[in-house]
Amino acid sequence: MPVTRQSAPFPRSRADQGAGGSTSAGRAAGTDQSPVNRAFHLLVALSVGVFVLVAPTPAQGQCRGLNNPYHTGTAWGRGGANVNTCDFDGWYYGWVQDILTDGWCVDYQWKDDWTDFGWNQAAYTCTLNYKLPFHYSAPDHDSAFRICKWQGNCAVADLNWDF
Amino acid sequence: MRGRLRSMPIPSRFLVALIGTVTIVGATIIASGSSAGSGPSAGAPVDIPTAVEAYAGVTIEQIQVATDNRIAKEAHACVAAAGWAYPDFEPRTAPEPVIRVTVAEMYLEQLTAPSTAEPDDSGRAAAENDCWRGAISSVQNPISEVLAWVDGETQGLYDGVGVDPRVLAAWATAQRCIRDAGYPSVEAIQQSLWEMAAAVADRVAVGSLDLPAAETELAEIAAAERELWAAIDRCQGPAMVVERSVAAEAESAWLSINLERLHAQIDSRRAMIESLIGS
Repeated sequence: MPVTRQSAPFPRSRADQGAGGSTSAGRAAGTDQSPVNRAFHLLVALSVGVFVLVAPTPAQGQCRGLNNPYHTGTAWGRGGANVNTCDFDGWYYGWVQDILTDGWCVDYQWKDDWTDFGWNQAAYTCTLNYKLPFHYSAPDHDSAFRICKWQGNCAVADLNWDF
Repeated sequence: MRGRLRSMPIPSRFLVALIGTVTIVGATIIASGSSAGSGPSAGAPVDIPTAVEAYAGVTIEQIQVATDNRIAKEAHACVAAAGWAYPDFEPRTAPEPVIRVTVAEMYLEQLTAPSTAEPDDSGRAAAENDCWRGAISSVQNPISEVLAWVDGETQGLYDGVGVDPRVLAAWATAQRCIRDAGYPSVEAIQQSLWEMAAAVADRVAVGSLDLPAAETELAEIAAAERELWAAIDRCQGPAMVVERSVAAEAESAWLSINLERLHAQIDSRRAMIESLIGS
């Protein structure tokens, strides 16, 4: 799946480290109910909650996970991500390539969200075999992308791309 | 969600889409020689897209719109069935518009976007993504399938196009045109503009530049990006017309041998085509 989804990188909380030799079963049974520990657990829970709300979203469009970009394409055009795409800043750094002298250019398009009004064109190249670099910002984590050789002949990554 | 289109008033969205589509995609298609909905001039070789449309009895664009609508309808129903609030499905009568946004404008959007944390919508987003990708997988575009078959059958067909003297001459002219427009290296200038835009954003971040001044600088950079695109389109357009014309000659020769096989591919999907158009 090119549009992979990652959980926020939660730091392991002290509550999950079995502090004091207590087991998960012991915690589940609620054996430690001191005010200090309850306050500590509450703080941990609040911290995790805040982190979930504000955690940055990794660029996902051309990634198979953190720091794992990939490239793919069709018989007439290819696209891929550079190594710094699959981080946590929401910027995509990639390239697109026209690989056929068929008189059509190749167009890389993306959407921030599936219900967006239209597609954004990030790059467009007619130069044979040249890897045209581009970058764009997509802050949401459900972006989609495709390459087209003319309007009406587009390929969505990994679904109907040939290879 | 912070899509820039969504943040615009509806009339602005249409305006942006219209301008973008007409100036960019439209120019590209016209420059390249559109197949969809427009046949070749008298005496010109019939290319593959034209032959496909003629025999299928529909345009590639019509099938694309119909396929997109069926995908969207299925995806919207799927997300709603998963229990999430979702916009109502609205069928399209034309392809989704394509707009071109400069890197400078993206930095500007980041600078002016609200800094408040968004609510966690990962559950809805996961359902949305699964539903859309599932719908795209299950709803096939029969004409895309035919064109993919053609791609497999025509490997090597265009090898001679790139070395055709007419094409080589056209590309040499295009390169001279770009140099004459003041761009000795398109790539270097593009990279430089991106770096300038990033530097503006960095100065705002550290407090050495206020937002109004940044907006002015980024607008100038965006204008420079658009000037560069315009030069590329203006200079490469004629070369693409020549390349398309030579490629069409090769396609015409291929069709003279393989027309029946192409028709058989379309016939095997006739029911799908009619189902999509009729729905």
